[in-house]
Amino acid sequence: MNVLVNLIGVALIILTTWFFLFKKEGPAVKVNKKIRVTVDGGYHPEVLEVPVGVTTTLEFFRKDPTSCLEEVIFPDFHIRQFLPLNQSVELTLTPKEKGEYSFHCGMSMFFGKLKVV
Amino acid sequence: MKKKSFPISGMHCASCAVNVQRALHKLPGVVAASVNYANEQASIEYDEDAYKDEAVQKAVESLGYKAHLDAHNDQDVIAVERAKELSELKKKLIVSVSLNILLLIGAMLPFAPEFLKQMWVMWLLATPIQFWAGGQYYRSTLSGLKNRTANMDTLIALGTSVAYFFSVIVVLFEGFFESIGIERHVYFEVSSTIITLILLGKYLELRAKGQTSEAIKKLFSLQAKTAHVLRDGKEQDIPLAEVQRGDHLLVKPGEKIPVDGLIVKGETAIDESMVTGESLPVAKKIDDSVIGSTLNQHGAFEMVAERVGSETLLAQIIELVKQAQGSRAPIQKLTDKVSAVFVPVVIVISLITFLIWFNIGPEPQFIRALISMISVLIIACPCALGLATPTSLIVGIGKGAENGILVKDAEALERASKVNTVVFDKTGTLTEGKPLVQDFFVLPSQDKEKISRMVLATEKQSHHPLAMAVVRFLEGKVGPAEPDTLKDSSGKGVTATFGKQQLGIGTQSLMKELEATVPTALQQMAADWQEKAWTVSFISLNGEAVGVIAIADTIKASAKETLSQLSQMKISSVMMTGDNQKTAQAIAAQLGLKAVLAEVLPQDKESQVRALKDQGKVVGMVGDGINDAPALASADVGMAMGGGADIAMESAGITLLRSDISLVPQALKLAKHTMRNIQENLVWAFGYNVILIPVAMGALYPFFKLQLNPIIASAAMALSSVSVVANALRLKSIRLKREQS
Repeated sequence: MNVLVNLIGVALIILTTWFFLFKKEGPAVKVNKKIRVTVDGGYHPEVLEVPVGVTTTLEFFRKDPTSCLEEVIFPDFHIRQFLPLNQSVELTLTPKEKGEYSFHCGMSMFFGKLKVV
Repeated sequence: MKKKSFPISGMHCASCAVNVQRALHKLPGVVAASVNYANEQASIEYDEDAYKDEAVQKAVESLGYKAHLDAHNDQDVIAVERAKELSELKKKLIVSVSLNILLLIGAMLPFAPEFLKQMWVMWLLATPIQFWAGGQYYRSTLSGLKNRTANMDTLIALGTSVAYFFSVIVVLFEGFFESIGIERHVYFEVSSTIITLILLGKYLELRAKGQTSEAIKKLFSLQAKTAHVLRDGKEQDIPLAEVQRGDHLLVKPGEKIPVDGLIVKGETAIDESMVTGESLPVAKKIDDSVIGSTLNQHGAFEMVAERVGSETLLAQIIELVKQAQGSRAPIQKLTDKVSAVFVPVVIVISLITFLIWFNIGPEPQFIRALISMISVLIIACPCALGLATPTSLIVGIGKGAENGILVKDAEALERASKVNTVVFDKTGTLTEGKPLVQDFFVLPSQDKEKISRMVLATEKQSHHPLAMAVVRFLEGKVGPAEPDTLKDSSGKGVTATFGKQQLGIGTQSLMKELEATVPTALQQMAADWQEKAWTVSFISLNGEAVGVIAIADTIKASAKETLSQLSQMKISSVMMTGDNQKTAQAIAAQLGLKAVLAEVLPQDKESQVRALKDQGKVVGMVGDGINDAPALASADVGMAMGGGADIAMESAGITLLRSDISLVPQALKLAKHTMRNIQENLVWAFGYNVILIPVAMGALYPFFKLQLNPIIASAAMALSSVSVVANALRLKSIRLKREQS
């Protein structure tokens, strides 16, 4: 019995570590001027590829009531936007330099990425 | 026909929405109405002639809800959402607290009614708390799992589920636990109390959070709602959004000025405190510019609209404050990294905790292992960590905006908190930048009134800045006169004739040219004044000097006080000016300043700032923002002193909305306080987790035989994020201005 419990415990530790910390980044979705990002336990799509110098509109739609997700923040673009539940909110940004910029929720628990190419 | 949609708050069921819809439909002018309960939006179609906003407001209010007709800005949307969230939470809290009290009585009090001690009754009481009140934690966990992410809700769901489902198993499999030697005990009160306390914490946190963005809410509420426009000579009331550039608007006493513009008729005094923080009313006349959303105190005037909509000063301020609040402080990078892995790491720690207690803990091992594991899951608080920096920033930046201090971003605020040297570009910051007559002396043997009249008449014809100062000084004091001839001697002064009399006003060399004798008394006086860095003009009448005028750029009333305040803050001040050494030193002496950079050409300002930086100083540069842009940009923090309607902050990290030098120490003080507040929050949030997670694991057990109760863990966790927000709110009450002594 004891052995079994220990085995289950160790297995859970390994599983948790692998499941959450060894998550691969999703494929980058190319954005042509506008894209809808669904907010539900994270951002879908999670990785956005946008062209440099082009004004891109991101339409956020939050389905998840988790309070962390009520704000989305693009620190490099000085955007902090409140996302009301079940409503679309449009953000526009024009990246000036190539690179990778992360965006995240109000408490920095959920992350997405903007790849400027 | 027109359409409009707006949020309605306070509805708590679908039938409320139906009632509102019916009420709206009955209103005059409304042709169609629909109200959606799910997103709390109403949309109506109406006939403009018969329709009135007030009627909608009244009708909705009479049903006990609120229509947010002006909710075209973010802040209203947030307020509506918050109200919705709060009322939802309140409902859950009331039910949870009531059920929880029964559970606690049954679990803790030996003399409790027998039926409350029944395991299945406890199960019954705990279930709605677990899945209805705590349902959001499961929903959030599930949607996170789909993305392989975990958040704070995951921890709550896991922790309470362990307690709840273990208890369910105990109830269902009566014989099993006894057979393996574990005492039969349920922990329904633990799971329920955790959820109840965390809901309470969330409720308090939400309420406090609502206050963090009050500053921006206040700015939004400043806007006027309507304007009186003059079209075809007739006065017409139109909504603010319809005002266009070039419109002639009428502003009556006691009304808010709708947009930025120029006065074309009338004069008044305007209270600009809400936008610039200037406490005294500002007198305005024709050709003066007025700021939208400021308050016209008395006197009606006509203005022409110059900046409307998003171009107005207030709109720009709001935009800048919003942007600044969205920026990230460099200090935050670390917490972001920690937050991203925090929850999975805590889950792993909780499992390790379980195994340690299970293998080497005292009896009953399984139960103790379970309890410690729950405590770890519950006590860990990533929220406090995530809230620590942004909450203080939002409050601090908002506080600045209320006082006429606009901070560009978090980085500027962080750098401003470290400034130890402030460079002032003299003109316009330490001095008024406008020459004023300091003294006007005419020999007692002469007719002062007559000479003054002739001086005024002569200087009026000249356009030299010094002459303008004399005109401003004499105008209204003496009567008019008209010179017969007038001659400008470039760089020296001016001469004029009045009938047979010849008047000269100018430098010593003009006196020489006119062969005027200058009495020693006047010469002495002139020498004394020059010591003070005043510019001296002699007045001669018919070949004899009869008077002297002293003109100087006045030192601002608050300059000296401000400099002493800075030195109290251990910040050294440097004056930078294009004046010659002697003048610069004289002004510095009056200000009590030692460090002076004189004879600095405009193009060298930047290199002077760099030189100071190279000496290892953290430099704040104060200038007018237009001529000083390169110097402002090269400083660690550029502080542009405004006054105009343009607040383009490209080169400045901080913009001071009014030409008041006392804002400089206030801004630095704000930066220091905000950064300290962030540090306090971070120390608290990190310290909390670093100390209490090991305690929850059982670190105290080997020494004191003390194991943390999960209920205490949940209370600590509920309080930790509230305290971070509460600490940030303390920033609202700091005193930026120095107390009047």
